[in-house]
Amino acid sequence: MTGFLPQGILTVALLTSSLAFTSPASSTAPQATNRDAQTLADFQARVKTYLALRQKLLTGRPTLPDKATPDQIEAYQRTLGDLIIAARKGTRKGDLFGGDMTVLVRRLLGPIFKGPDGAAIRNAILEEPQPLVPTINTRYPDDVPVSSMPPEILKALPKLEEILEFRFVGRHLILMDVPAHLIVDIVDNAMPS
Amino acid sequence: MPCLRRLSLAVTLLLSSVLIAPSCGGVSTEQPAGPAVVASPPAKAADPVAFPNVDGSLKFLAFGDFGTGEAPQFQLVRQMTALHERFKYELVITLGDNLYGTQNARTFRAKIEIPYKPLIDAGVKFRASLGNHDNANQTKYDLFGMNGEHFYSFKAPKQNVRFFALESSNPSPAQMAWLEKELKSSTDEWKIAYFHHPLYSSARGHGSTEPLRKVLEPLFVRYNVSVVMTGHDHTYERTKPQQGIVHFVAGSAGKLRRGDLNRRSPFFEAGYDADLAFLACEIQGDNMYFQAISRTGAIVDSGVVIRRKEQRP
Repeated sequence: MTGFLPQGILTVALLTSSLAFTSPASSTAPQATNRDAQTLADFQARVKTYLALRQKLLTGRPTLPDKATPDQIEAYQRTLGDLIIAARKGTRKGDLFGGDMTVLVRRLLGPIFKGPDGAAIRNAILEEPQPLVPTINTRYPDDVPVSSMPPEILKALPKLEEILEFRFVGRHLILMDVPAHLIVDIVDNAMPS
Repeated sequence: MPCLRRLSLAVTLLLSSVLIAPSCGGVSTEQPAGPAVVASPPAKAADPVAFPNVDGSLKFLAFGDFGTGEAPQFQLVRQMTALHERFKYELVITLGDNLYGTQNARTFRAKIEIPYKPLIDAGVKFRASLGNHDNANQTKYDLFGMNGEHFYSFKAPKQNVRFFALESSNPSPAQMAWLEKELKSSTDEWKIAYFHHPLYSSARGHGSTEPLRKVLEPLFVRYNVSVVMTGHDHTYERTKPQQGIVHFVAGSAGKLRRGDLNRRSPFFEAGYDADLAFLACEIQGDNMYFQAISRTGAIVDSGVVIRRKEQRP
């Protein structure tokens, strides 16, 4: 494995999941391709489980209109956040990413940060101070800006449902539930030092 | 307009798409193919509200980095309100970092609804974009006109203008694919993109967002975007046209980084970093008149952008 996700995985991933990768192709052993595709499929399955839990928590509750008042917005976000935090009480880092996906994320991102545009990409992510130690299943603090996500990084990471986003906190990659403004999971040190 | 013609030739030779005519006087009625053109203001008027200020034009404001709830924000709004009395703009596009700090019902009111009440009451519509300090729940905020979308486009209520609002902190492949499709299908004469992170900025605080520029600029050039408006850096700046496109940074409508501009930057054309400022614009036909106005009401930059036209072989 060279570090980039091979095009073969792209095909497998697209066929077996909704994850989409566009990293450059490289030659690799079929065994590694299959293993990475399985890692992606497992991650996708865990994301689906999370989304199902979320949907269950929202069932019977009022939806947030697209033209909402500040009171509606605050009530919805706080309620949704509290419900998810309570339902996932005791969840641990890696519950969604899993060990294999954590390794794969680092392997996908490593060459980008070490590549010719690596310094600019790193600077774009780290440009704002983020005084925060990310903690799983907690609200992302309002007074901490979210990182910029350079396009190259987003291209290399799995495609997500709209309500989920990847962001960085320092060198750590976090998975955020956007409407709930929660940190769902974390990959420590996804950005190489 | 011999002065403009000479400069136009120079531009062609340099392939830099830059045409600046600060001392030529008057507004060109010629419309060179390709690059957007910045000409000098029509006149140095005593009346600070003088644009063309004509009926039927599209009048709007652009500003970012504003929702602090602090006195300077309110003071700048007073200038916006005073301007509206004689220059009836109907639209505000926000360039992100709309709300700083805690984001709850109280702060939406304290930092947005109370400061901008005079504009809201006057019927001015907001169409926001998100910055890195914004909670994404703002997409659902009725006042911001985002209809739940992180990125969207809309046709202006007047003139042949389409705006493209992007979420620059999360330029996902899905967003980029959407943008290309929208730009490609747009037949509007004016295409104006706005978002938070500047593709070109001479400020030392953040500066240009190069990874973003690599993906957005080719699309903007290919599909004839004339103007890009951004915030993030807490300064006001207008660049020399880059690849034929004029970039404005207007990120000082609530926060200021005094003295932050590097005026020796190769793309710097005009700027202001001594006080808060906002950008007021008027589109009439092929011309976009603009004024950057400070917290004291001074016009700190002004001119006319002539839109890009499709290149002909």
